Amino acid sequence: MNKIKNTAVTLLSKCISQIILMILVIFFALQVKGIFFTTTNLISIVRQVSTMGIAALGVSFLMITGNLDFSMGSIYAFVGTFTAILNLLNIHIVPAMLIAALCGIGISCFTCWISISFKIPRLISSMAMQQLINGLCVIIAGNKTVYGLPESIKWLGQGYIGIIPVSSILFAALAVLVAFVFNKTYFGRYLFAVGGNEDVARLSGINVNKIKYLASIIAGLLASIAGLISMSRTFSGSPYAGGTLSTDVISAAVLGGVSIMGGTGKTSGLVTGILIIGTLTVGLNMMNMNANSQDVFKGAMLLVAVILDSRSKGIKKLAMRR
Amino acid sequence: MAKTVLSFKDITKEFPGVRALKGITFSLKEGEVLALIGENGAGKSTLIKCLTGAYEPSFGEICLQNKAFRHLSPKLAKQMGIGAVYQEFNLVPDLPVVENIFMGNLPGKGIIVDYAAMLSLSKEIFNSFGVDIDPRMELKQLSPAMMQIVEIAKAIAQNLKILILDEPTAPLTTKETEILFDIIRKIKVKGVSVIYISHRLEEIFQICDRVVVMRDGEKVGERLVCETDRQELIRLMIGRELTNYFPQRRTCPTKEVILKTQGLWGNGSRDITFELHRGEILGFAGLVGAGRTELMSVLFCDAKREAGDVLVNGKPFNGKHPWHAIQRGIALLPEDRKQKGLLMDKSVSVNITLSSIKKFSRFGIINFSLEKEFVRIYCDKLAVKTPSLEQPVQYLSGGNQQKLIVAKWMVTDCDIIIFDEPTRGIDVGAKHEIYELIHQLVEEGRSVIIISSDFEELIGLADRIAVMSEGELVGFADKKDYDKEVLLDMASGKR
Repeated sequence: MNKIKNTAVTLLSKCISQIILMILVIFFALQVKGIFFTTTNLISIVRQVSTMGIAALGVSFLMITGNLDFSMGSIYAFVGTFTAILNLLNIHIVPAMLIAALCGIGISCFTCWISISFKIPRLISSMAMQQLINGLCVIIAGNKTVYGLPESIKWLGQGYIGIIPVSSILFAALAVLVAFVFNKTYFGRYLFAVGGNEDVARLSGINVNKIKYLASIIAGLLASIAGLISMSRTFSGSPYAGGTLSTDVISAAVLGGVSIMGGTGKTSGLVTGILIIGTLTVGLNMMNMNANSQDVFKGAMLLVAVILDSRSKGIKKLAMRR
Repeated sequence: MAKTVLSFKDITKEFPGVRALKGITFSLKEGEVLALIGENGAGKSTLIKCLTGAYEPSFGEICLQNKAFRHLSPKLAKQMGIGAVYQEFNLVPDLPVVENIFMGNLPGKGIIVDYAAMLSLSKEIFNSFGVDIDPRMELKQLSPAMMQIVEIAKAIAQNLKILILDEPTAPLTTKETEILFDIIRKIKVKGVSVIYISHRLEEIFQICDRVVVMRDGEKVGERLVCETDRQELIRLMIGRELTNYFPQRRTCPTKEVILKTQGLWGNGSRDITFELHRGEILGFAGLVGAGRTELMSVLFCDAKREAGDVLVNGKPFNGKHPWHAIQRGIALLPEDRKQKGLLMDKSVSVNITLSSIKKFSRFGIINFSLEKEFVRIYCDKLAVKTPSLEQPVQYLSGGNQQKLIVAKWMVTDCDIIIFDEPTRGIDVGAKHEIYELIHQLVEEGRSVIIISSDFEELIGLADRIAVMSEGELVGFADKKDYDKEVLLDMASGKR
């Protein structure tokens, strides 16, 4: 009897995010009958979550190494805005995107450098950077959205292959790649080791700082890609595009079982977490809930996720205790 | 005949899938020091947790002052005069000693704390112990030994009847242990009973009246200390005869110098010069704080070297990071296995190949079957007991955890292996296995450095002993000249 109970508890703690997603889908399917559960709407959810999803994949590299980062939204907004500005300065869109993305990576690495050199938790240095970059972004954009992008970049955020949006295909491909890196490469093993226990990793001969920089580069790159997709979708560079992205990606990751303490996390869980946030946003929109109430809802969701995160460790311990 | 203050009657504790305690029955008399011994996992701490109210026994009862309890709550246990001092201190470093002593139990009227009463009471307690601690000092200024005394004082201040001491001497030097024993003798006279848990058997003969031996959740023996001996206790604890406590050396160290330091300074070490030979076990003796761990972290490049040369295999070594040391074949097994040696929630496999995973990878991709093969080979070789290679290491015993770290360095092909307190917190049977393992390592042509605060362990194991005191190397002793007293004198700074 006890054994069955233990198995059930372990199973529940493993699939909690999948269960939440299912409940949400069923709930909205019943609430907004005939509109929510349609192919068009589901594809639209997948499309909407793709940009956030790519940024969340990036932030998961940082979270797994035990570094919470709240500046992904600012990088996301900066890269789009900066590309649009460079475009207005008659720089071809491809080099403009590359330069902006490099800046995005640079920002992430700078945050990393600050926390390593001055021994400041990344949580803090990234919050400062978020504010700094957001402000900078508004200044260089002259406090308005930057237009004038060439038609050629529309495919990235607005194009479809068959019925599937290009951005979603990109998201799926990146998710598979990230899962591969986490599970099959020694770099993945190092990421988890650094997040699990930095002292142990260092004393085992792992170059901890190098791993942290590499994670920062990847996070910066993925946030930049997400920013470019968003720029293409809105066909403009908006310094306000970041919005609640910084917290949304962390909520998604935590909901998907990536621990805020570092050392644990799965790509499958992460994708589920992103879908939860996406479903919630779209579903609540359909129920005509306004943005402020949605924030309340999402905030509550993050709280629940964090509580589950700290509880699941207890549950696992209970189940494993012989 | 002293009256009985505590008796366990048929205490049984079941966890899902396991019976941690099986009908434990024994009693404790007033003013008695009772040793509770057994290997790790024998059920000592579970029993103690039943007594302090942390666990509820599944069956049986605990009698305190002629009252029978089905189970105790932590609060009730405290009211009944039960206090425990664990290895990890339960004190606040930034507060003065006096506030630590009366934590949660501040004397006074209403909301006004009677500070003067607190001061005089704590002074009284320290006086009765015969120690000189200023209660107004901040706790963090005290040595670990003094903190332990503060812990005991805290328990005493709460009108204590039964004091539980869990491995109290682990962080203490020999001299400090004497002070602690003196205090135990003094509180004993006052009628306080003590339950004393320790892995160091010689202490039991020094301080205890009676001993209860546990194995696999059962009480396997109860003896008066004056009627038993070390051999018998070990036999009871591990359930078999342990003829040779320290294994016999089958090889001799070679003349080949594998590691040499010359005038090494850094991290508190001062002018350290020594040689390590291939196939040698070199012991580092000293008191806690002598700078041995600090020296080793300089060698392992985890702390900055300020001056001096290190030669590995005759070639100069100037590493900056631990991975440089590992590349040159130097490995370190830290004192704190759980915090610095292992990823506790990761599997046996992951931990064993953590330092060598690149070897099992092509183009960055791990070859899992090759990895598994190696892990299996080393687990067999070192007789690691684990239900599977996927088992998180936190559920393994201390001895098996230590073996995993050794396996990690064996896979990495390190030939200079530094053990920092390799047997701390490991039970007798597993200690023996670790000693065997160290011999196995040197027989394979590796060299071993052992730091240990247990002089007998060094005398039994090492080919040569280096003694450190206050960051300096004060001398060497060869195997034929080993003498515990002489070593102790050297370590205390009396040359």
